[in-house]
Amino acid sequence: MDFTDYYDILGLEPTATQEEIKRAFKKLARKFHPDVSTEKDAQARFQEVSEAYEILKNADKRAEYDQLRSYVNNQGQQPGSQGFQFDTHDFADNPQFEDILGSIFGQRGFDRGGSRANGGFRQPGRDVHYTLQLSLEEVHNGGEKQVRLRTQSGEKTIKVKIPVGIYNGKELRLRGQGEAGSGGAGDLYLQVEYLPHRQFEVDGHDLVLMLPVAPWEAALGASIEVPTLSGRVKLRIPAESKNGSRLRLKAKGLSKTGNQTSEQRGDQIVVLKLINPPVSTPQEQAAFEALHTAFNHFDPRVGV
Amino acid sequence: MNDKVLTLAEFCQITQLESAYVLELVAVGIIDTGSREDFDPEQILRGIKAQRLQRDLELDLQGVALVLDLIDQNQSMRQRLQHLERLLTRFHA
Repeated sequence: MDFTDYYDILGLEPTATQEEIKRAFKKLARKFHPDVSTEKDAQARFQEVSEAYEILKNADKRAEYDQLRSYVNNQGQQPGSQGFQFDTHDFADNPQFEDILGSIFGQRGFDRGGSRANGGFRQPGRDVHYTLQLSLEEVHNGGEKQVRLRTQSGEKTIKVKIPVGIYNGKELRLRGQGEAGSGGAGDLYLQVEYLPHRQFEVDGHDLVLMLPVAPWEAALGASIEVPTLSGRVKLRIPAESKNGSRLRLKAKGLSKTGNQTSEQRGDQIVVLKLINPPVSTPQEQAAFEALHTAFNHFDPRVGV
Repeated sequence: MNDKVLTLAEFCQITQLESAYVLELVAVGIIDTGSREDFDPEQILRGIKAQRLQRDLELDLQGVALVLDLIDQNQSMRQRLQHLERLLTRFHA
C-alpha cells in the first residue's frame, strides 16, 4: 500500500495547528474542486487533499496518523517524499500497526469523496471524470462511440451514445460506471471536448470556414465550391466582397436539437480571405501595373 | 436538446437527491422548472454539482448558485476566446 504524507499534501509542517490545517484544506479544496478547477489533475488532487483533511482535522485520527508517520519515517524512509511504497509485510508482524492501519484506512472509516464520514459503513466507489474528445464529424453524425478508459484496474472500453450536435463542454454522466466500491460503483463523467478540425472552427452551433479568394473573385463575384460537414456545396460570392466578408450558408452548421432535421441547425459562416497572387513573370507585373493605372484614384489608406 | 421532461420523483431518483433539497434548489433558482414542475434532464448534473459544491466547499445555496452561474459564464467566455484566437490564427496563416 502507498503511504502518503498528508502534511505534504496540504503543504503544512507536522506541527500545524488545527486552524492552519483547516485553512490549507479550504484553500486547496477551492483550487482543485473538480467542478470548478481547470487544473489538469484536479480530481486526483482534490481527492488527496480531502483524504488528508479527513484524517488531520480529527484529533484522534491525527494522533494515530502521526504515530504511524513517525514509525514509517523511522524505518529509514525520507520524510516528505510523498507516496512512497510501504510494504505491508512489515506490518503483518506488528499487530499494533495493523490496528492503526485498520482504524485509519482499513474499514473505510472515512469518505474519500469529501462527504461526512458515516461511521465506516458502505463506501460508494469514487466518481471518475474523463474528457471525451470528439471530432466535428462525430458531433455532426452522432451515433455510438467506443471509448477506451484507463482505470486503476487496467483499461476498459465502454460504448457511449453520442447525440447529434452534442455541444462542446457538455458533461455526460454514466451511472455506476465509475470506480467500484463496497456501497456500489461511483459514476463516470465524460466531458465533451471538440477536437480541432482541419477546416472548420466552431462558434456555438455555427461552423466557421475561412475561404481564401483571389482579388478578382472578390471584386467581380464568383461561384465557388466549399466544403461543409454534409458535403461540398456551391457558394455564390457577390461582386465587391471585402476581405473578411462573412457569408452565411443556412443550416449547414451543427444540430441544435439532437436530430438531423435542417430547420434546427446552426449555419456555416464563410469568411473571405483575400489572397494576393505572387507576382513573378513580366505578364503578371504588367497586369498589376494595368490595375494601378485603372485605379489611379484609389487610396487604400484614407484616414491613416 | 431533449423534449422529455422528468417529474420530481424521477429527477430525485436519477440524481439521488432528496426531494426537499431539490425543491430548495428550485426555490433559489439553481434548477429551473419553468412554470410547471417539469424537470429538464439537462439540469440533472446541475443538481448533482450543486450538492457536491455545497458539501465540499461548505457553501450556502446562494453561494452555490453564484458559483454555478460563474462556471457557466466562464466556460462560454473561454470557448469564445478560444474560437476567436483560432480564427485569428487562420486569418493570418
